[in-house]
Order: sequence, then structure tokens, then C-alpha cells
Amino acid sequence: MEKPNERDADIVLRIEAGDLTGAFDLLMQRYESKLYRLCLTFLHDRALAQDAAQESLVRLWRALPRYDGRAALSTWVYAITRNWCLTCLASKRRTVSLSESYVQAEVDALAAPDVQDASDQGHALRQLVEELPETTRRIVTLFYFEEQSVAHVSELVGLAQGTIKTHLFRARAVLLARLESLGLAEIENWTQIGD
Amino acid sequence: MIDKTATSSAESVRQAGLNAALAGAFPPPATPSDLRAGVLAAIAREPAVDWQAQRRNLQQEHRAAIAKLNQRYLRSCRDAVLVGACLLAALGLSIKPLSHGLAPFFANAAPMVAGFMALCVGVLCGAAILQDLFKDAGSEGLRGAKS
Repeated sequence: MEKPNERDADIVLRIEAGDLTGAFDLLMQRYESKLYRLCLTFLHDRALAQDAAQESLVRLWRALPRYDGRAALSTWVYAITRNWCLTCLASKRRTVSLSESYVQAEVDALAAPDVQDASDQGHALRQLVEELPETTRRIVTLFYFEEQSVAHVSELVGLAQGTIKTHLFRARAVLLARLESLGLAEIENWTQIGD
Repeated sequence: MIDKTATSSAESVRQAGLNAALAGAFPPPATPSDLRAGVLAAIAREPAVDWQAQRRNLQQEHRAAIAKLNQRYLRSCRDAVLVGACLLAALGLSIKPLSHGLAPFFANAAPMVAGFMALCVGVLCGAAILQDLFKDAGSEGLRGAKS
């Protein structure tokens, strides 16, 4: 895999040359999807994730002149986004509002179909992933969002690759055990799941 | 990703099945088409700032802070060496009166014992001073960097 420093050398060069608009255009092209997916794993809600990704990008724009190259650009970008997501999560928890998405999630949970039904395997699996600890759940979700790249997930969440692998290993063990307890252990026979 | 440590083929098949099922359950979500437009609109509303000047100022401040830290570090080193040298000299001068006091216990070896004791005390004091000075310099450096 290309090193983050090499990958973003063009953006850093533009920042150093004072071409902040050009640098930000490149940064947005390269990172907007990743940032949206990162926000989605934190916030669980597409509308909130979009708002958070947008605000993170605006914050990156404001902070761009202060980027001094001490950390890789991707590390810096993801750190700003993660911090903003955590702020959003904290305010969301404080208000504990019955927002539309929250109500919808509750309705979905209450109307959860019988997991024995083969057509709802994907839903059952998502429910089981939801039950994992917060960090593990984020890592599992990002791992599949990021085309199963441990290196990308490591960069996004700011944890070592070994830690990511440990979380994934434990998550798989827990999921297999839970599937077994639900009588869905023959997962290899599942039909292709998709949205 | 298949777990390499899986020993049995049945376990590998289960892992692969779970992996495929998870990949199916969590497809990468599409990025909203209006995300970029929203960002550009928000940026357009931002007050105009002379980024170039701001960046130049920040670089200048950064350079000044580093120069200050370097200066403080060099001063600390110089102070440590001076204090250590003075201390060792003082201890060296104290060998003669000390050896008189130790003579009843060590006879002819008293000057050597006194010298050794002075050396030990000097080394301990020097090490403590150095550690303290560098600790101070480090915390000041951190304070400087934070401010």
C-alpha cells in the first residue's frame, strides 16, 4: 500500500505553495467519501453523517493554513473528523432527543423479524453487529465499508493494525457464537446478502 | 479476510461464510451527491481571510518557538556542566579534612576512601541536578509548545 505521506504529497505541496483552494479541492476529492463513511460508523444515521462530514470538511478548510506536516495529512484529516464526530455524539447523548431517526430505529428494532427467516439474514447479522462493543462495531463496519483493508481502517480510527486485527478476530468469534446460539451456525450455506 | 490460524477446514469455511455474509450486510454506502455542494456553499459563506498572511505568521511563530526552545536547552546544558564542575571541585577540596576524620578507621587508606566518598556524592549530586534541570527544560518546552 502507498504510504499516506506519498499519497498526499501533491496536496501538501500545494499547501506549502500557498495554493489552499487547490489543495482543498484535491483533499475533498480524495477524502469526502471516506469521511462520510467514517461519520456514518460513528453516528449511525445518514443525515447526521452527512452534516458531520460537511462540518468536518469546513473545519478542515479553516485549519488548512495551520497544517504543518508534522503528521501525515490523512492522520490529521481523520483526527479532525473523529473529534467532530465525538462532539456530535456527546451532544446527541446529552439531548437524548426522540429524533425522527431515533424513533425509526426503535420502530425497526421492535418490528425486527424472526432471525430464522433466511430472507432476513442480513438484518439479523446487522443486529448482531449492533450488539458488539462500540469500538469493535465501528471497526467491523468500517472494515467492510473500506473493502476489507485493515490498513485503511487503522488509519481511519487511529489504532494500530494489530489492534484492528484483534478486534476483528474477537468480533468474528462472538458473531459465530451468537449465530450458533440462534441456530444459524451453518452460515456457509447462507445465500448472498445484499441491500 | 480469512483467519489464517483456523486449523480445521470446516472452521475456515465458516469464517469465509461469515466474512461473505458481513460483506453483504455492510456494503460501502454511496456518498451523498449534495455533500460537496453543501461544503462549497458553507465555505463561500465563510468570512474572507488572508490565508497566505495567516500561514506566514504561523510559520514565523513556529520558527520563533523552536529557536526559543533550542536556546533554553543549550542554557540548561551549560548550567548543568557548570554546577557539576563546581560541586566536584568543592568535594575535591573537602578530601583533606575528610581524610583526617577517617584516619582512625582506615589508617593509610583514609585519603582513598575519602576520595571515593567524595566522588560518589559528587556523581549523585551531579546526576540529580542534571535530571532536575532537564525536567524543568522539558516542561517549559511543553508549556511553550502548548501556548
